[in-house]
Amino acid sequence: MKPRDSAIPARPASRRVWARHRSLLFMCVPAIAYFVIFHYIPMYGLVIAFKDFRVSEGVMGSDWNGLENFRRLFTGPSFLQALRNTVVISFLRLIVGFFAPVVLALLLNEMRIAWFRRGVQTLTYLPYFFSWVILGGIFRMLLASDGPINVLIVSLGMEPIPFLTHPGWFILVIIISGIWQSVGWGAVIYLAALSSIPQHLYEAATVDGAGRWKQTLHITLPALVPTMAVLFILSLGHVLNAGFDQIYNLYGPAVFSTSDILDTYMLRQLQAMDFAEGTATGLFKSVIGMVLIVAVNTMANRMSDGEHGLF
Amino acid sequence: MTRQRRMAASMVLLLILALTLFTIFPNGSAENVKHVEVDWSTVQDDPTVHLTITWLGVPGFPNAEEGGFVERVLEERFNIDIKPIFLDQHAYAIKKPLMLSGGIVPDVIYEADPVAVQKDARHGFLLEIPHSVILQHAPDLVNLINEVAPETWLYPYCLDEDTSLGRNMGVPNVWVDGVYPPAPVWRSDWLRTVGFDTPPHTLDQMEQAFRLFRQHNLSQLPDGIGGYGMTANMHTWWSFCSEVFGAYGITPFDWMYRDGRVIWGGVQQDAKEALKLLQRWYAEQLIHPDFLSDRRSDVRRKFLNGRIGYVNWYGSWGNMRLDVPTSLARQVQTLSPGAALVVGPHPTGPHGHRGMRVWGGGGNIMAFGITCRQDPRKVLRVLRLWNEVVKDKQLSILCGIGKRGMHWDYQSPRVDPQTGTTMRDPTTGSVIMDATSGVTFIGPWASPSYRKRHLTGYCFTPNLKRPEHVRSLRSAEHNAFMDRYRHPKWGRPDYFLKPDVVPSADRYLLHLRMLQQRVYADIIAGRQEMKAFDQFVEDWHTQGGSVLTAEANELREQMHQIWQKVGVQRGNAE
Amino acid sequence: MPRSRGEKLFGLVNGVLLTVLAVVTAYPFLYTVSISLSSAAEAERSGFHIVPGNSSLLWEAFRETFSENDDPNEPHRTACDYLTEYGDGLSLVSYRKVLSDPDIRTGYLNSIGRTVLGTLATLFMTCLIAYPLSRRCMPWRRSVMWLLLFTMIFSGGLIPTYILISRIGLIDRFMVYILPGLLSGFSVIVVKNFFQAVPESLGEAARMDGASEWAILWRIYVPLSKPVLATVALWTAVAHWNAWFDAMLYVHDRKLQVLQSVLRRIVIEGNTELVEKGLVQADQFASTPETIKAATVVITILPILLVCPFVQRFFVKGIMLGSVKE
Repeated sequence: MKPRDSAIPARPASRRVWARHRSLLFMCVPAIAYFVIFHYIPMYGLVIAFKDFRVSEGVMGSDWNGLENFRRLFTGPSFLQALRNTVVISFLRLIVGFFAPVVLALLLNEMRIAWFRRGVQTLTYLPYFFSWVILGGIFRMLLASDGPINVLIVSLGMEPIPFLTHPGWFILVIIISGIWQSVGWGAVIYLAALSSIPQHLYEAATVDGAGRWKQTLHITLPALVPTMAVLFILSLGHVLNAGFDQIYNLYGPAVFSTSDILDTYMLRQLQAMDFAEGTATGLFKSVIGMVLIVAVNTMANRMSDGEHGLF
Repeated sequence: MTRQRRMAASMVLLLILALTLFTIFPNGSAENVKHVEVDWSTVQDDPTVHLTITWLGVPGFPNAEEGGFVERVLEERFNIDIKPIFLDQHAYAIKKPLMLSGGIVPDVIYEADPVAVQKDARHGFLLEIPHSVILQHAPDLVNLINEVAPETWLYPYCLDEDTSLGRNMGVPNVWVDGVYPPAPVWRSDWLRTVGFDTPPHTLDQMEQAFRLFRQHNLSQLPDGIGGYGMTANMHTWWSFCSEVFGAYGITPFDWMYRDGRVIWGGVQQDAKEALKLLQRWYAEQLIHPDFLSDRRSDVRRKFLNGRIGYVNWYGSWGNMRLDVPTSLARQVQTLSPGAALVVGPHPTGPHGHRGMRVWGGGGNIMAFGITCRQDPRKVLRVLRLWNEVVKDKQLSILCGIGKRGMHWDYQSPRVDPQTGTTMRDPTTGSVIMDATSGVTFIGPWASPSYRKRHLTGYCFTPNLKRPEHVRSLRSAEHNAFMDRYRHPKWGRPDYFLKPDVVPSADRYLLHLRMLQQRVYADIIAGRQEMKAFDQFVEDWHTQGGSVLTAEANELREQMHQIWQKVGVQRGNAE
Repeated sequence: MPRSRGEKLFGLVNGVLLTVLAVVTAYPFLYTVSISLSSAAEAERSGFHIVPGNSSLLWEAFRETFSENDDPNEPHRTACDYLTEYGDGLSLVSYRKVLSDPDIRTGYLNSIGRTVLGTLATLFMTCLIAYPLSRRCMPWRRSVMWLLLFTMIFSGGLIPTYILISRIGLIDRFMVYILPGLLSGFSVIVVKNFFQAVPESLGEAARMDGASEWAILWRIYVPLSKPVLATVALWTAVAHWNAWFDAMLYVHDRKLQVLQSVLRRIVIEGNTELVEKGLVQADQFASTPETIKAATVVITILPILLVCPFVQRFFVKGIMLGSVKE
């Protein structure tokens, strides 16, 4: 009654497929129903990105206006600068920030004192629970020209650093504070991955005389790669979100040239933020994200023989 | 390949499914109501008819409960049942459009700014209300608007896209308190140390005081850093160094009227002069280097901790009171022992200008939902309500602060000038209160949060009060303070009170404002030469400024046309 | 197990690194606790704010206790004086104010309710869909994956969602907290990936013994994937605990408000920013002191902090030990 030969790749008629995998398919039904109802039905709203939308006329009744909403978005002054800044900040975050949680997870994993490990782990979550409205105030205080960090720098005989008012330094602050905020939370998933590594692999390696460093290199890291690959690919989907809350709560006129991102640009460009234009912007970001995901996923699949892609 | 075909097939299936489900949903929520007009000449309100009015009022009462004291008074007096929707400001911005498009259109709708009115009118949520109707049913309200902020008539006035005809879509509010400019505050102990007995009253003296602050190490902090003159908050363009620009006769982020034209203040030569001064001050370290990143809370903190000796914003009556624990004067004493504060005048510039930016007497807009067309008597009833509040001083006070003896009372009893004893009513023996001593809230009503929860008058009658009523409730000392430091004659409003009222504001103004902030910051911090200003003026004009200026001048014409209709007498501040 | 010198050195460096990191990441919390316990004025003092109130007075008191040769000409202040003054800078007013809000109790109950129910529901549903997706033999597997992935990137926007929610009658219902966020594509993909790491042979063996797919999922895959399920539970629970946006949009009923919206309201009540901008007018607005904002933050974070260590029990090594017979 139960399919037993699922390992054999066969292409049976659809009725047989149904019969063999009935229980598996049934399991999918609630989730698919959920996604259709709560995600796909509202997606009809995306058409208003191409419409001169008026609520009184309804989504379908409003006039089409082609790409006018997009034109409005793309032709605003300093759009290119905002796009460039967004991409730069996003990629810096990705390059520098992506590995930080992995490293933290490895370090925590090597820590043998259990209470210490748990304590550190809990403390590193903390910044994640704070909104940038609050963190912004704390950072402005810490990084002020006469703030504690600059006092330290001056006492070392150096000039105070204009962390928040110099366009270059500001980007560095954004990246580092971003990592600081999310590293602990990001490490959770890797810790879970580490816990799932079969213990007997390490035992075998120890028997073979491999040191801890070698064990990390040959057992731990490879075990993390699938998770890393998935997280990396998925994070590409949000590459045009450079962290609005963080930047909005830290930036100022002096650093607009490098920190004006798409979100802050939209805030100005679409002040009235009418539905249609907002939808158009969202759609633009989504399409870029989707293209990146698909491209990188394909690449990952090719490179790893289907091992490390999303699916 | 099979796999791909399978995938395509399932995608198509899904699409069909989604579309089918989507057709279940009716199109839009409000019906097509673009050109519904009410024949107002036939509408008669009968005060004996009980009306139910859904009311999205001022979103400043997030914790309010339905059935507050004032709400009940209004309901009883005007024979209505108010169904209020209480929102906070953030929820208002997000939830209002959702509610409207989801089919919940209140009868009375608060609109935060002109842009919001235009948007809602365009989407067909609002009922047109001709000026003549307002004039006929709320003459006292019209008088108040004409007197305090006639510019606001522009805000609800929408040009129809198809017909280019102007339609009035709401009733402007006034904000009587908006005409008083903030006053600068100085550390009087610092001033005394460097030899100033009175606060500086010119820019030159201000500079001298700042320089002396720098030379003396006045900061009492252990690290010895401090003693700057001032810092600024570049994020709030409406207050950024506003008194310095004011001393040059400029409001840099606003429309001004000069020589028969409406112009943008920030691109005038006087603004350049002000920038020159600020650049020099910054170079001489009179301005705190953090002014580029400081926000309001940072400015306050710097002042309280004695890093700067001057702020341009906090000089209010409440902030100077030593008997209020949260006042600036009290807090500065805790953090900087020996500190004392003094309110100073706005500095006078080289050509005798003096003043500071204010929002002016203009408020928000109350509009009527399209739902009112079923029963336009609701509109007339609400107009009458507002008119009564303006006309009837007792009701106006009631809506604002509640009932005397129940929610508030005068501060102190009247004292017999001969005997020096408290005066009592000869018949009842109760204490007679001094009506010139100012107002204080009683019991739990002293808590602002409690008041907002149960005393929601302003939610329905947004700050409707005549200036003389406001004055009559303040203590004599408070009034004297206002006259001396915060007199409206030193207030410098925008020519239209809100610069964003020009039609293309959302297209250009925000960007230009940012450009301006950036260039101003760079110039003051010495990262760009003064000549960058001339380049900025050019950029400003080519990047949309010329369009905006032309529009602003057309808007002025339009404003005068409306003024003729509603009977504005004064020639404005021209 | 003997450890080499290199390993011991590494352990030391590692410990120092982690300690530094913990201190740095704990700082905003210390800061916020300290602000929330200070008086309104003390909260504005420049400095690190690791200890509530004016900490320099504590230092003075300490020095006073141990210093011996006092200058008799100077007006003398005892350690006690310093401590009294220090005490004046402390205050519980902000907590009293926040906790005395009449809505805070219902807020707590609703938040706990939605967190517990929502997390359980999400875990159940996530396992249910992740399992078939992890099975390579599942037909239409890739299509379903695309279906999921698509929802992670594209969304219809607020208005259609709002209309949907109101049409299916979820406005002012408790279920509005649970249903719309029931599944996240991200969690499903992550869990699916972990399920894939479970050796197929285990399932095969069970199938031989006649176990149903349902039983295999709950008896074999779920117990073996505790760490990742704990992770997803943590993600979901924290998201539920911190959520206020859905409450703001879909819930008017005060009895259904969640903790976050109550706290947000307390903070926002005295928000003067919009008053300054001229968007909202009222003369009775008094700004919310920093201390109250800090207290609300502490009140929201504390429960999470208390729960975290329990969740971390699941991140122990050797989960699979003994259960794998390959």
